Amino acid sequence: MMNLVLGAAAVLFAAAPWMIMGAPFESTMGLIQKIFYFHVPAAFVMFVSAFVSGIAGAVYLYRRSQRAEHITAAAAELVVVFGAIVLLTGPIWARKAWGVWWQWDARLTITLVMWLIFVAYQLLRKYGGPGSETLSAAVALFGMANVPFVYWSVNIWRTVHPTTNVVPSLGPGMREAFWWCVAAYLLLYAALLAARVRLEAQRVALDELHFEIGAD
Amino acid sequence: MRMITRALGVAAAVLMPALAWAQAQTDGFVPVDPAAEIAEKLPAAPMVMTAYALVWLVLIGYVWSLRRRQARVELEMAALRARVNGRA
Repeated sequence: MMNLVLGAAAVLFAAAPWMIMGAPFESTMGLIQKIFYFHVPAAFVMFVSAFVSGIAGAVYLYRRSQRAEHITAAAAELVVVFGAIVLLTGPIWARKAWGVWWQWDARLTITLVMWLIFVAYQLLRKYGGPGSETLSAAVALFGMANVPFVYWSVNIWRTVHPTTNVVPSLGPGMREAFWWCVAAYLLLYAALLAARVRLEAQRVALDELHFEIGAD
Repeated sequence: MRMITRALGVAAAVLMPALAWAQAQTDGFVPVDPAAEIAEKLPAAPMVMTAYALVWLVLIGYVWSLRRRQARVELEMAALRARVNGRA
């Protein structure tokens, strides 16, 4: 099943450049606006992953389910990966569109803070020692709580970043290319999440085997 | 009457600097915004390609890291199985 998902993601990604090239140019920004087609879907997936991690973290805290813990860890790692894409492609667009690599405005700053929270999750889980799963699940929940602030920051505060009206108001040509890229990213995310959850389950099983053999 | 005079005085104290600032903006020369100049001169195509390449690099790098960790776990599992079979 996951091979099918991965295959579909590969097809969509392969066709994405043609979809993006076929989309009309934006009137004020021109070619540089095409970064939108991989910057925004990456941000979208980052938000989805943060929600998956936070909700799985809550399930782990409530039920102590091992599977929920694996999903929390896997999704948190993917927040860092897709967040890195957002934070790398955004400044390249900003340099051309705004003339600066970075601005300490609400949207950019809160996104960076959210990304750092999930980086902190990785460090805590790796080096936190016994019992760090519980604390890191709480960190994932806290990271998830940042998502509404990241999303609505452009509407609440005065920022240089475009508002949330951009996607709903996309014209023909742009709309299809955008949702194609979102579908490609989401399918890839599903495949990566499944792979990472499986790896986490195997790693935990290996640790338990080591413990049992060591005890013998 | 005194209240009205006081209120007018406060309003004048607050508004005067704002009016003076607005006056200065329209009177003097406005320098070129360096950010706008940079934005106009930078070539867009290399930047779009760099951003696209970075996306691929990050994703390929992550998939490579996943495979490396998977291989390490499978290797350890095989070694453990061999050890358990050896004991048996």
